[in-house]
Amino acid sequence: MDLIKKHIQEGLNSTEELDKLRKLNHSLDDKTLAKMMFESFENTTESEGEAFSEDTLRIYSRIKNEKKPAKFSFIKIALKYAAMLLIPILLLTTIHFYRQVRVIEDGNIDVVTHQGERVRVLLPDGTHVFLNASSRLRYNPLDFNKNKRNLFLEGEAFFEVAKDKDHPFILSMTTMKLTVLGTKFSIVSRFEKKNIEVYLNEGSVLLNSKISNDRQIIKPTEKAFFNTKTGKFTVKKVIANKRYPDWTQGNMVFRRIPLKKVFNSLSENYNVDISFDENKMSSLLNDLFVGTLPNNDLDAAMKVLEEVYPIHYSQDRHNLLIEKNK
Amino acid sequence: MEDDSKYLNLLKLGSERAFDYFYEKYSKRMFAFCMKWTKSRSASEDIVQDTFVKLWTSHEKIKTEYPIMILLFNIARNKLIDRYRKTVDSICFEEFIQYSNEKYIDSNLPSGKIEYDELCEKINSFGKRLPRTQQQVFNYRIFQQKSNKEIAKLLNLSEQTIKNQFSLALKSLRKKLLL
Repeated sequence: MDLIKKHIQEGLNSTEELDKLRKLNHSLDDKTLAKMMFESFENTTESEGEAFSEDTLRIYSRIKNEKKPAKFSFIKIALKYAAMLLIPILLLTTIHFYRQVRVIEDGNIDVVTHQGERVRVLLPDGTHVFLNASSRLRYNPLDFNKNKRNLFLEGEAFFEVAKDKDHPFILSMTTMKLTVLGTKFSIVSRFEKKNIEVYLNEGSVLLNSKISNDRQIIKPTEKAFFNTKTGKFTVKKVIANKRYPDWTQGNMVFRRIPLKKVFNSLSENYNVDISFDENKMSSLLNDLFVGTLPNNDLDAAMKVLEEVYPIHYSQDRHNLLIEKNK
Repeated sequence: MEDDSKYLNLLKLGSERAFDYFYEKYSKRMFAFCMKWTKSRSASEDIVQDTFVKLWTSHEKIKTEYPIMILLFNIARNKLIDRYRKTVDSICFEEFIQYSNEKYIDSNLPSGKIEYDELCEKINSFGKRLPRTQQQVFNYRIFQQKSNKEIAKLLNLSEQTIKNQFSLALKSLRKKLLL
């Protein structure tokens, strides 16, 4: 034991002493070692720690920068931007800084989400938008509420449009336009997909093709498919869709779900390919997971799983690789 | 200690200020403590960071009846024991002790002032410049901590050859370190 004391205090003098310490360590179980360590911890003074203030400062900033699992980032278009754009009136409340919101030179505001990110946006007229991952919503706050409410979307969003008969709400995509008066609808418009999909929950929408003369009105529980090549609309009746799309609702809750299925859910929700070695991880994959994972922060979700299981992950754009710890 | 108790309850409720309070008060001590056992700055960094991050991410489950020192130690415990054992068993540490104690024969250069981590790095990169067999033996001993016997089997050489190769490697290493 004195040897251990020597090691932690002045240090060992020779390889002979090291040999003895090695033998000693191998004969001690963790419990005994832990007891000695705790005593040593209690005896470590503040002044001993002073030598390491730089190190701990550095660690602190690293801790602070680690992504904390966030709920839906809520963006209220801020007074800050109003001032920047010289708008006297409008906008409500507090200044929130969010990295998804940019003001571009022509006065437009861009709300951009990347893979695995989601935001909720409150527009100046009271319209509420859930913006899904890898999407962009653009509008001009100077313009907004003047005659029309014009916005541009690329990606996926769920809208709850505030009723305003005098100011039609017009959502533009590259090949199609959507006009509503006041309503709830979902839209998926991704450039890699052939069709733009619009699902109407409440109210009514008028859809206009920009590349043909086609137009379409749909009613609640109807889903329109717009072919971005031909410019044609088709409508399907959809059976009892939920009030809100799954992805707009908080977290993914798992109650005794096999880990393999958890990975599948993550893959779907975050739109990433998840790969893992089935053989090496077979026992883990069948483990029944009980827990909650955020649905808008992939890193945070993976970190939770890393805490629970002996795994680690690495990500490369749309691919996630999960491996068992050695 | 009353303050600790008060802040612990706040921490459990998710107060970032309470977290900062504990970090400010205990992180340096914890770092110093880890250094004493592992001699390694990078190990200590890893343990301190990991411990406080875990303290935060599991704040809801904090058992406020326990003093913070015990809570912190419990989180750090396994990692620390693991790193301690690894340090003591490692060849790098063996070299470190020799080096710190001026046991090098040709040493008329200042020794003992190098940091353990730095020495480990030098040793790691040094291995890459050895002649082939020496390098293999060296890497097996240092990185995989295999015994001479095991290496002899792997490389299909006699145990004596392995011993010789390793001591040749060590000789070059020591020469390099003194430069």
